[in-house]
Formats: sequence, structure tokens, C-alpha cells
Amino acid sequence: MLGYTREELAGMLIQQIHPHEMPLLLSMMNELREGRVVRTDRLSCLTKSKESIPAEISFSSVEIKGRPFVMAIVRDITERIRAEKEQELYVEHLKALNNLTQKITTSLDLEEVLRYITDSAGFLLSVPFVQIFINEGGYLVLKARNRDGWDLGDRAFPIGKGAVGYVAERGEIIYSENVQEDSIWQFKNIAVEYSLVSFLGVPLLSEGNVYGVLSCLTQEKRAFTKDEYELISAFANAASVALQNAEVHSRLEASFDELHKQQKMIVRAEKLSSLGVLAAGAAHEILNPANIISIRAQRLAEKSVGGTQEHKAAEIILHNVRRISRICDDLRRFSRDEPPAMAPFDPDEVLRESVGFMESEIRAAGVACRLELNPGPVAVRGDSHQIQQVFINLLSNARDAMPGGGRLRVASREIEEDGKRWWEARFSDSGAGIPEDTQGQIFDPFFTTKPEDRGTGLGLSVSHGIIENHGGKIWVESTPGQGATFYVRLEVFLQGG
Amino acid sequence: MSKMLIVDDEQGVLDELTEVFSEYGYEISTATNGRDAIAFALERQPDIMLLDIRMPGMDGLETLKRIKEIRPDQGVIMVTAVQEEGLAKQAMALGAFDYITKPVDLNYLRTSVVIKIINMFSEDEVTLSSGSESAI
Repeated sequence: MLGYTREELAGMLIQQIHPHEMPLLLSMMNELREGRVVRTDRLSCLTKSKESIPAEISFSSVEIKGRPFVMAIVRDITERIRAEKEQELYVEHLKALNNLTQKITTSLDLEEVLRYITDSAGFLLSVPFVQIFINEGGYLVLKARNRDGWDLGDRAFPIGKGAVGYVAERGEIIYSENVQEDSIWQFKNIAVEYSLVSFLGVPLLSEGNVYGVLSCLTQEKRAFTKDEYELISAFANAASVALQNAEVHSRLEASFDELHKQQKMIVRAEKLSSLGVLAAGAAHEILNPANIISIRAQRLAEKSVGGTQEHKAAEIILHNVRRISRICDDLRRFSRDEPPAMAPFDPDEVLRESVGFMESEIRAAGVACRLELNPGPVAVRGDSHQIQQVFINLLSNARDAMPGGGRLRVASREIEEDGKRWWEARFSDSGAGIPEDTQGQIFDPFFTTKPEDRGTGLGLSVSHGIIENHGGKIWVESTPGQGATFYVRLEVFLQGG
Repeated sequence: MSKMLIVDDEQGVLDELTEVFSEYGYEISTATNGRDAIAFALERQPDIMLLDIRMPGMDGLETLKRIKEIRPDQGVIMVTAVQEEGLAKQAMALGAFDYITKPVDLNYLRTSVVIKIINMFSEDEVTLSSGSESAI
């Protein structure tokens, strides 16, 4: 074991064999002297070729012909130590796997989970570069890479194409010793540029389907042990679950946001409808005395000579009665609770007409207007006059939002949402946009940013009411400084004319 | 002298319109509710009626309907603060001659009244080219 012959060994001093272990050996001897029979420990031995090897030594006190001796049995434990180390490493890895699994399954943030997974896989296998690809309808799309990995640009592989696509097709771990020479690797130039050598592709499986692929790359030739295969498989299972949880969560979050938005719309609709009842009553009550004032003023104007103070006074009164009357008109429209006349019509035609009405005014304000209509034809059900009123309201708002001129884009399209088919119109202006804190108010009655004689602040409320009555949706999206886009959605009644 | 019956639940409106049309020589009666309006229409047989719609008790449309049942040729102009296409159509279907919203344009109201009265005596029907829209 030590390389000495029996003859050489006999007569050697113990410190020649265990030069660094004398304190241990002395304390072991002492223990024997104090009455212990066997004492075992680990220590290092120096071989004849001056190589240090791990050994296990058992001291026992024996008697030979009545004389006390110490007998030492020395065993080479190099192999055992190696196995133990391997075991330790495995346990370490398992612990790490456990920790990582916990970490990736406790987070529900998709981005965070993706990053954890790539970082963890890199750590588990000690590989410098890990990417994660997710299967999106037959295409493996690059979603994340580990923190220290290189950016190889956006990539997507169809299943079956490239190393990653091959892993997905096979649904099993694929190893390539050197991608620069392996035909499964598509981008030889990248492999060369980044000195990529060994590749380990691990499928992320979910109920037999390939959910995605983990791609691990090294810059030197690297083999993976059976334990590492097992480890990364276990990890990939946990990663698939974590990813799917996060994805479900992010979908849930999106629908929660949608729900929240709709709830706000409903609350507003209810608020508006009770206000509507009030507004209708108020309009009627205001109009009766305004009528009397108006009749008086008309008679005063008729009887007085033009240019006199009386005549001027009458004119001023009449001008303001007209304003009152206009406000009441808006209030009445706002509170219109009669259901709209339900007839099919082509919303694109109404939109085109509305833009036609407003075109000269819009152009006069220095606004360039572009109209992009849905190829159609399509029909929605409702009151085309009321819908036209909404379009004209939105168009004139857009014009007023760009006092110094600008661009207005009016576009329509058909989309599928909530299991329904919608016709959607968008009115995008290049004005100042709507501050976030007022975005929730703009559909409230009497909310206006326009000068006193330009608007009563009822236009959008009225539009909101009309679209609600049609079972549609109206909302705004705006980033201050980047204009605003108003959306109107009506459910498609007939397609193809 | 033409006879006019003005019906409105608000005395202020009655006073104003009475003053306006007295100046043109109409003989004016007034009523503040539908029941009185029907009674006066029978009793005084006015040439023309100005009828409010929103009134407590019997509303203007119901009043119009009943008057037309008794006096199909009675000329009635609706004068109302309720601007609603549906109501206007209903009133015209029930036989109203015009539908004018408050605040009324006096010139328009006077013209409408005169045309109705002319039509009662002439063979050729006269109509206002601007339709039934009112604007002050």
C-alpha cells in the first residue's frame, strides 16, 4: 500500500510514514495506555513515492508473550473517501435542488421564475450558459438566460429544428459533446464565435407534452454524470410545474385586471344612470322658468329699438337662455333612458360619414386626419344616429385636444374577445394626452377641461351612456405627452354583410 | 276673433303666453290641468290649443287623446320642455298639429298658430317648410 517492501518497512520510524500525524498518534497511544483496547481514526500516510494517501488506522493494545505491544492496522481509504465525497456532493446537490425547487415554486412572477430556473440550472450543473425556451404553438421561443450568460439574440426554433427543437421533438435529454462538430447544432458561426462546446438539452415536460427546453452550454468539453442527469431531470420537472403555475397566475392576474376594469365601468355606469334620472328632472325644471325668461326677453327685444340699452339687455338675456337650453339638451341626451332603436347597420359606414362631417373642421384646426377602415363588411345592431353622435363627439374632442394642430388616426377592426366578436373603432390623437389621475373622471358628467362656452362636460357621459345602452364598451388609454386613444366596441351582429 | 286655450301647469307660462297672444287679438282661456282642459275644450270650442305635456295628474298626451276623441278636428300644438323624438311622434300620431319645445321661439309659435288657423278655413293645406323643429 505504501510502496515499501516488508523489509524496508521493518525498522522504519512511525513518523516517517505519518510525518504530519504525530500529535494524533501520540494522543491515540495515550488513550491505549489509559486502558482503551482499540482506537480507530483517519490519517494520512506518506508513500514511498512521497504521495500522501488517506488511510484509516486502528490501534489496539495487545500482549505478546506477556509483553505489551501496540498493533496498528492501516487501510487505504482513498476509494471510500472519493465515494463519500461524491455522496456529499450529491447530497449537496439534492439540498440545492430542494432549495431551488422551493424558490422557483414559491414565486409566481413569470419573469422571476424564468430567471431563477436558468440561474439554478447553471449552478446545479456548473455550466456557464443556460437558456430557457418555451413552446408556443409549435415554436420554441427564447424566454430567458442565466444572469452571466451571453446574449445570443432573440431566437425561436420550430419543434424538430436545431438542437433545442430536437430535444423538444424527442422529449428526452440530449447531449452533444461538441456542438461545433455536431450536425444537430444549426448555428455553427455562433458556436465558434462564443466557443461553445458541450450541450445538454433538457426537456421541460408536462403531462407528456413538451412545455419547453432548457439549453445548457459550456465552453470546454464536458461530460455529465448519471447523477447530474438525474438531478437536472428532477429539477426540470419542478421547473415545469413552477413555470406553469406562474403562467396560470399571470393569466389570472390579467383577468383580474380586466375584471377590475369592468367593475369600474359598471360602477360608473350605475353612477351615471342615477345621475341621469336627476339630470332629466333638473333639465325639465330649469327649462320652465328659462322659457318664461325667454318669452319675456323675446318680447322685450321685439318691442325695443335696436341699439338701445333695453334691446342689448334682451339680446344678452336671450344669448344666455340659449346656453341654458343647450346645457339642458345635453342633460336630456345624457339621461336618455329609452332603449336605442335596434336595427342592423354598418358601423364603418357611420364612421366614414362622421369623419366626413367633421373633416373640414378638423382640417381647419390644422389636424391631419387618417381613416383606416376595417375591410368588412360587418353589421352591428343599434341606433345609428346615436352611434354617430358618439363618433362626432369623439372626433370633436380629438380636434379640441390638439389646439396647435396634430395628427388624428381613426381606425376600425374586428376582434375576438370574451368569446364574442367585436367591431372596434379607435380614435388616436397626438395631443397632450390625459393625466392619469383624470382618466377615471373623463366619463363623469360635467367633467370638462374645455373653456366655459365650448362644452358642458356632458359629451363623453352621453357617449358612454349610448355605448352602454348598446351593450358595447368605451374607454380611453393615454400616456401623458403621447396623445390619447379612445376605443369604442360594439358587438358584431352579422358578418359578411 | 280666434279662440285659444292655453294649458300648462305653470301659471307663469300661462301669464306670458296670454300676454303674447292677447296682443294679437286672440280670445284666451287657460287651464292648469288636463281635466279642466277637456272641459274647456268642450265648453268654449277653441280654434287652437297650446298643450303642455308634463302635468300632474292627466298628462298632455292623454289629454290630447281624449280631446281628439270628442273633437277630432280640434287644432292642438304641443308646447313642452320634454324634447324627445318618441313623444313628438306619439303626439303627431294622436293628431297634434305641431310639437314645440321650450324655451319657445315666439316667432315660430305665432307662425305655427296662424298656419293652423288658416288651414282650418282654407282648402289648400299650408305647412311650414322647416318642419316641426323649434329653435330660439
